Amino acid sequence: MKKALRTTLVVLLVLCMLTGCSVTSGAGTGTEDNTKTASSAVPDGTNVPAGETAITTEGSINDAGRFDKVVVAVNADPADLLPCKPNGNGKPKFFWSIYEALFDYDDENNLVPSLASGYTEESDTVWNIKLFEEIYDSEGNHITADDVVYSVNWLIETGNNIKYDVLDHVEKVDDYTVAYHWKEKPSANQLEFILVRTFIFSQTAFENHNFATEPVGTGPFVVSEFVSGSELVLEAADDYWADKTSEDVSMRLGLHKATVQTVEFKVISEASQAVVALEMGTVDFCDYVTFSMLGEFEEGGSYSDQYKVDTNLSGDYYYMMPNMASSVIGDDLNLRLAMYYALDNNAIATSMGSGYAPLKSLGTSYFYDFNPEWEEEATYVNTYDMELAKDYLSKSDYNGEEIVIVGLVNEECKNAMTMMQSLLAQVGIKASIQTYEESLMNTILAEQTGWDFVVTRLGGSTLVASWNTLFNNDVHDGKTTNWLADQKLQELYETSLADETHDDEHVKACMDYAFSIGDVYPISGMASSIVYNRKIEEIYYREGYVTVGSSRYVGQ
Amino acid sequence: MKKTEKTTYSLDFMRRLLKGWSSRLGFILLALIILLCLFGPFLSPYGVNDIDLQNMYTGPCMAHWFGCDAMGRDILTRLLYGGRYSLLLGLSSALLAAVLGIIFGVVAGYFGGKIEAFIMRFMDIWSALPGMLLCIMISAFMGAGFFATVIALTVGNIPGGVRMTRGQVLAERKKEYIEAAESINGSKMAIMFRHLLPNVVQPMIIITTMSIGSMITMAASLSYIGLGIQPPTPEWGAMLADGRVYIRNYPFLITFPGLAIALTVLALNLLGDGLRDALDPKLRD
Amino acid sequence: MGRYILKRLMTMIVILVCAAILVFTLMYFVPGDPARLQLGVDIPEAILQAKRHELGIDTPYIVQLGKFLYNAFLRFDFGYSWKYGVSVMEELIVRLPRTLMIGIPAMILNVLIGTVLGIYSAIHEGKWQDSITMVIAMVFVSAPNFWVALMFILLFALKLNWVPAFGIENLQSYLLPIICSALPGIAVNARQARSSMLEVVRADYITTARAKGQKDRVIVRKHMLPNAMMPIITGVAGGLCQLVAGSPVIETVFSIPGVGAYMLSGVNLRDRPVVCGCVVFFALFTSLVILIMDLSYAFLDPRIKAQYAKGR
Repeated sequence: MKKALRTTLVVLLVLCMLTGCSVTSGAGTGTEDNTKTASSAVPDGTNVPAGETAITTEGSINDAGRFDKVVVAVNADPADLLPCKPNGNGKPKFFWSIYEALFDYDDENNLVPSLASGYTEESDTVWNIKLFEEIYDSEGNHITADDVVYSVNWLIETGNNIKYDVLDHVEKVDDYTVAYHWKEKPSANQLEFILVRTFIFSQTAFENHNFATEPVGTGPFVVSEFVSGSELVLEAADDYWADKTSEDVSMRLGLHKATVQTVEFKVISEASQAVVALEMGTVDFCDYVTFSMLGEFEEGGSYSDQYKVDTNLSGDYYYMMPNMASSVIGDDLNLRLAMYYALDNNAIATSMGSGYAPLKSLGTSYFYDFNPEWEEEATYVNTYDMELAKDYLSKSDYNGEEIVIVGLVNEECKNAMTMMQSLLAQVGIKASIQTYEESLMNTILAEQTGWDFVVTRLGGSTLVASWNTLFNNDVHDGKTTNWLADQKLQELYETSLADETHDDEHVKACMDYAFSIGDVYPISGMASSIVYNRKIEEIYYREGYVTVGSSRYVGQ
Repeated sequence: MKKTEKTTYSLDFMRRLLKGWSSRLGFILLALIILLCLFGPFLSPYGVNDIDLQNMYTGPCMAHWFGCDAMGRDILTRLLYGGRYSLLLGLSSALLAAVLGIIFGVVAGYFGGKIEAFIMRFMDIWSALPGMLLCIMISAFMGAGFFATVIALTVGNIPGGVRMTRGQVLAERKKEYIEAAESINGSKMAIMFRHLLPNVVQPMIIITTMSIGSMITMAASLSYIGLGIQPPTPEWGAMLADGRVYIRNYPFLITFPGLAIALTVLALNLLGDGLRDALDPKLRD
Repeated sequence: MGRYILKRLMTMIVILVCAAILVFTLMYFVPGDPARLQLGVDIPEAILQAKRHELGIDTPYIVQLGKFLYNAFLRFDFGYSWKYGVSVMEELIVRLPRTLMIGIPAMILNVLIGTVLGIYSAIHEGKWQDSITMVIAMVFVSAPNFWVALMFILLFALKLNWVPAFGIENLQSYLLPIICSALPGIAVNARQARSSMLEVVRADYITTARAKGQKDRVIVRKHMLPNAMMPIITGVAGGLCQLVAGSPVIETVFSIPGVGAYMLSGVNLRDRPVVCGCVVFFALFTSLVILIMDLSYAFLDPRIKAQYAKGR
């Protein structure tokens, strides 16, 4: 009996192995429905010998002029699809294909009509915003001013109204006009979240569906399948309102167009696995391939005939911020300066990986309000001077206490902090490292004790917008995120933010003052690389984010 | 002529322990690992935290036998140094769990009645939560760091020890020498710890030795999923986690730490097996 | 017998409730503010307060505990994830099949291969087959399973391309996770089966049967196996619980969005509803498995059956 058992087992195992083999080769013929490979789009079903997988750059343009399918790898779990918080969890990649806001931003951060055709300033504090009149969501609900009011109020009631300070209330004027009442005349900066990041949806649809899993939006795509943590599938909306409206919608961004019939987002959390997917052709696009693995997709690499690599400077950068309420470093400017001069951004950026370039000032050339000339000026950012550091150290009150640096739990941040720890040790400063998940970090920072420095990253549409987290003192009732109460800094910050004084002189003044009080240490700027199948001929960028569904494909 | 061998229990024990080839192997392996971890870092020309950005991700070569990691630090040195942490973690948490388990088990088994019922029910609730999960939660609760990890690891393993000890105590309790001690009005504490304890400790020794291995693995798992020890401490699991991203290009980043864990736990398990055979009176000659 | 089952079920429920309270309390005192978690670091206090009220966390501990227990046990509702706003119960239902898809086949493999290997070893006790088998078993028990998983991914998925390395897009993706989960269990079961077989082999009734001239094969089937089954069943039950509990690690390695990964992300984000939901689920699962295990003892061992029938 035992012999029989054994033989059966061996046979079973062998069978398992064989099935494994045959399926991967079957994918090449495009006949396997299970494996959702891009090659299933191949109409002529090329037969591939067992053991090989077909990688294809061919695809077809269907009758509606759309490419049939593209598969995107995402490393963050899209989680829920409620129309709020559009900046996190990988949402910038697809949210704007499902939902639409009143306005969009163009590349210079000017307002561009999206659902609103324009606005009139009735007074400094009242704007009348006019909707397009033939907007319908994917279920055919007509979007009117009532829906705008409903969407905005929903956001406020659920506490998701981030950066809404300047808005007093909204009210309907007529079916297609909504009056936005401001508390004071708003600056361009203050409008971002209210007009560009607030999605408008139908009250009827919202009451009948759970938008977290079944969103109903007005965008050019609808969600056809959503498996939280695993995948999201978008289908082009055939009844997209902007295609059928009689009004002139030509000034709207190209974002509002579906150039692909089906966009599939697969959650693949490991970069190495995403690379495998790219090689096997199961995924067409990935923006988090680590630099060490880019080689095979770049020119001269083994997959360079199917893929292209684009590298862009992104608007995100890493920085270190001191806790001004900390007993060790809060009152000790000399100690902070000692630390800053002991840090070498070149070494830190190298340790973070080749996607990171050392910052020489508080910002990168990605931002249009950053002047690269500022990098020429010698500050503690671009100066690495151990003698000077030791000098400041001797003037400070440092007695060998341990300085706690908290940071993000990802690879590059850990390396950066390790490097910093080592550099600081060279001048005799003892530092210890604690890593946390990004969301958890927020709660750590909300305490005045327990941390001395934080290393994390920032981003924003403009340089000064990104400084909100750093310098704005409305976070802790008159104190900034890092517990600083400095009136002068606040004034300089607000000046640089205001439209009339949003220029080189004032922005630099704010930055210089921040440096003089040792309030921030910029570390490195992120460059991001995207690897994409050559069937995408031209990538569409929305505010620097790739929108695959609106890009131009081969044959279009 | 045959010399009459004078043996004591301990000598006899050692002889039996090292009789089988597997336990001999385990013993030697473990001794080797401990020695290397204690003295190795002193022998290495590289420091544990010596960052060398020229040599990032260098593969195994003459200068660096196991290669270099993401910051150019020598992997072999870090492995040896990290071994101290892993071994210490495993040892302290296993011991702590054993001690606590024995204490509670003896108390429960000896007193019986309500105390026993209370302790055992509590252990039931405790063990309804799978060990790993408890570890993860306690790790999150206590934060990161060595001490917190020890607590997290210990907590999951106490119920097993308590049950085992209590079972032993229940069996021993009925024996005459306990009755004798009680009848001459020996204090309860004395009876529990001077008479019962030495006799019930035996199976715990074996379990504890085996659990050191699983503690080390769990510590590594905790580090792997992001809890546990903080950088730049070269704990083996943390090294595995860091290297995971580069599994295709630089597999040596994960091969060596993993091998280190595997070999250490193997040695411990072999030794534990040998211990069990050596302590088992039925197998004595 | 029925009374016994009823009593056990009642105890199980009490244990579950206590476990739920334990988890809830632990997570309650874990540092971290869910409002900030959701909204961000530079949000003023007023908005945070509103968020806290919406999440229902500005009431005292007892009130929250009460609500949680009531919802969890009477309405089977664990609330909504703080980070993602999705119903925890729904999420669990969606993710459970994936975790089980790994756990149950792995357990079957455990039992089949482990038992067979163990019996094989026991029969050839002392000879080279025994030693080799036990060494291999030992190796797989010792190596950390996530490392073995990584090695397997490297070899079978990345270099040989036989199976997918990650995710759950097709049935084949489950192959590697199942094997990697099963390996330590196979080893443990093999050793367990071997030692119980050996104990039984030495037992007197086997000697008697042999003396009577009974064939070896029949002896194995009729005498050895049933008696060796009990510890094996213990191993099975324990192993199943281990597998399910160890799922966070395996699911992380293979990017499988199952219950283990869900709990892990909940812990990392201090997302209390998620953690409580997952833990209660695991506790329920474990308790059920142990209950079934105890009951099967009764069926297998007539001595125990008699004990239960009398009503303990």
